[in-house]
Amino acid sequence: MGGGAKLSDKIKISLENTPVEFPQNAVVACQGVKGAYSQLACEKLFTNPNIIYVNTFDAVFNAVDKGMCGNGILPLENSLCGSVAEVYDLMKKHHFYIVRSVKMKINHALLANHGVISPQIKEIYSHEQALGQCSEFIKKLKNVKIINCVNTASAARAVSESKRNDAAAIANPVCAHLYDLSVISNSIQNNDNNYTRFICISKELQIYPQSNKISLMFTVPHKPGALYGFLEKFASLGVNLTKLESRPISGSDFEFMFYVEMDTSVSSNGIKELMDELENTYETFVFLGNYKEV
Amino acid sequence: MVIVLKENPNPQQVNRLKNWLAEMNIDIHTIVGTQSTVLGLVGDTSGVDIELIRALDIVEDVKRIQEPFKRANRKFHPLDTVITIGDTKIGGGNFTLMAGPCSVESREQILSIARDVAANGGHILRGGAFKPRTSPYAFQGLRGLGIELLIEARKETGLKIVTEIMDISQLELFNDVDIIQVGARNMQNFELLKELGKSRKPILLKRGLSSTIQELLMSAEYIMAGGNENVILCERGIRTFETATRNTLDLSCVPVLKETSHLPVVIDPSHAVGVARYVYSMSLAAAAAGSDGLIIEVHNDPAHAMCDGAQSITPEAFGGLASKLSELLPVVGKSIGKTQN
Ligand SMILES: [Mn+2]
Repeated sequence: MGGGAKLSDKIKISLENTPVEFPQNAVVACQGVKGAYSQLACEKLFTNPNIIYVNTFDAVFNAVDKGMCGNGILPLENSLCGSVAEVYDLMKKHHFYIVRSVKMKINHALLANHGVISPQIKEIYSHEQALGQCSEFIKKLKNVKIINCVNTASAARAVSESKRNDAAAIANPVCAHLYDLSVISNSIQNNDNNYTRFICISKELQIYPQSNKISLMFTVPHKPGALYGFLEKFASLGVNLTKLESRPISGSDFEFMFYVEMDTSVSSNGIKELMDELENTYETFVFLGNYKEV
Repeated sequence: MVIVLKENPNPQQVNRLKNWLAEMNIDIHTIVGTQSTVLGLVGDTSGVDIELIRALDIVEDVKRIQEPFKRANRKFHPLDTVITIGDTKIGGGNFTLMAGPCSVESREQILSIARDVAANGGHILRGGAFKPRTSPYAFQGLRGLGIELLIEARKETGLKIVTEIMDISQLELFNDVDIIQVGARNMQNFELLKELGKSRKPILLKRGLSSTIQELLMSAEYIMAGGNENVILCERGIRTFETATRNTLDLSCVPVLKETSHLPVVIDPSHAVGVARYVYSMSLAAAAAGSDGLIIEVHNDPAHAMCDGAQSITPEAFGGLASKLSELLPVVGKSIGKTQN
């Protein structure tokens, strides 16, 4: 990054130019197909989105970067399964800003073609994470084969298109209507406290009113106390860090990219100045955005 | 670049894709087929992220087109182009017979030959009004009057008419002609091709006597770039070291053109061989090779023709050829006739 204007100047310009209201309509890239949790997250953020479905997380970033979509929706972490590693790794490759985040309660159901009953099911299609979140339910079914799909909704679509009476999908119950399937069992997740956080990204830095979360991405040199030195600066400003994630940098000898999330805003005392300082001090330091979680 | 869309794609998502491409100044050519819709992209596509397009849920496949011709390319338009002129169809399984004298010489001559062509199974009457002659002292054609006589012959016989344009300045005289021919010598007259691109009239584009197949397709591209998709390609012999025939008929261009392009391909055996008695063999060979039609010089008095008499066959010979073709064509999956689909 770097180059050109100081980070604090970019933040000032963004605060002046960002509209007061979060948009109602937007062209939004979502991974998956109709009925995917990304769609449900998208519809929680925008009243009237024009959703462009793509089949990879990489394409969500690309669609925003190349101007096909104004925004993109990506899952970041699940309360049962942890971070979505692939999305964190893609963040290093792309230039983008987080403009909002949203927490969605995840509810899975077992779906099959009409008339199919539970004992007939020999194969279950779903996404890895959903299969993990429903492992106890699956264990109780006898002799079923598990098939991984890129997305829960595409699993539902595949079962519907196959017209098979020995296959089922694990997906959100809305997929039953979308793909003409029946709900065999609802709420089949191991734990009812199942939430996924999604981020909404944009190519431009946009800071809407009431933004109270900041995300950063950075590397620190391999020396004692380096990470502590970085975090200490926030501690001294009394900022609450809500998440720290590290991912190996591929091709390096165990060097890591760190991601932090914190409860603060660019309008808080000393934050803008600290951003300039960090940008000048660290080789890699990326301000990922200041946003609100809904 | 061509984008093949999945069956029944979401229209909102297709629109967004098209608008995004248009924002990059790329022209989109939409071909709705029976199975799938293909978007052909023309313009500088080097900045288009092919992987992003491939990742779209509405997209089945994306291919880059290496060849410099795009609109004429079969990858752009997988199905054969069929050109319809009234009840006559050219391309896509229809075999079309175009026949007539090298040049329109008189009212009696053209009307008499037109009747013979019609009676012997021809669909389109050819006849030169403007003649590109090697010698400035040779007969230059009846010009405007020639076109009027062709129109009169059409009125009487119901045949459609094709005649050659030599210069942009003549364009207005061709308003009432069914097919405008661009001769071999004008194949790379790019200003003329651009002007014809603005028209929607079918263009019979003859291959230059020393032009490659790709150059022929690039000339077709010139016409099509202007929006005129109705181009008929015509092989009429190329210049080689051989002197036994006037030119060498490059029949291998038929499978090449059929593979690389969707445009109809018509063969002119008369100018290729230059000898009337060889026209029959090469006509059958052209049909067997998979061409979409023939354009043959037919004269009721070849010995006294004002030009190309040596290569002109008689109406009787034409009739014999037409009936042989009607036996041969079903073997190669084509039919001779006016209203086949
Ligand atoms: Mn001639």
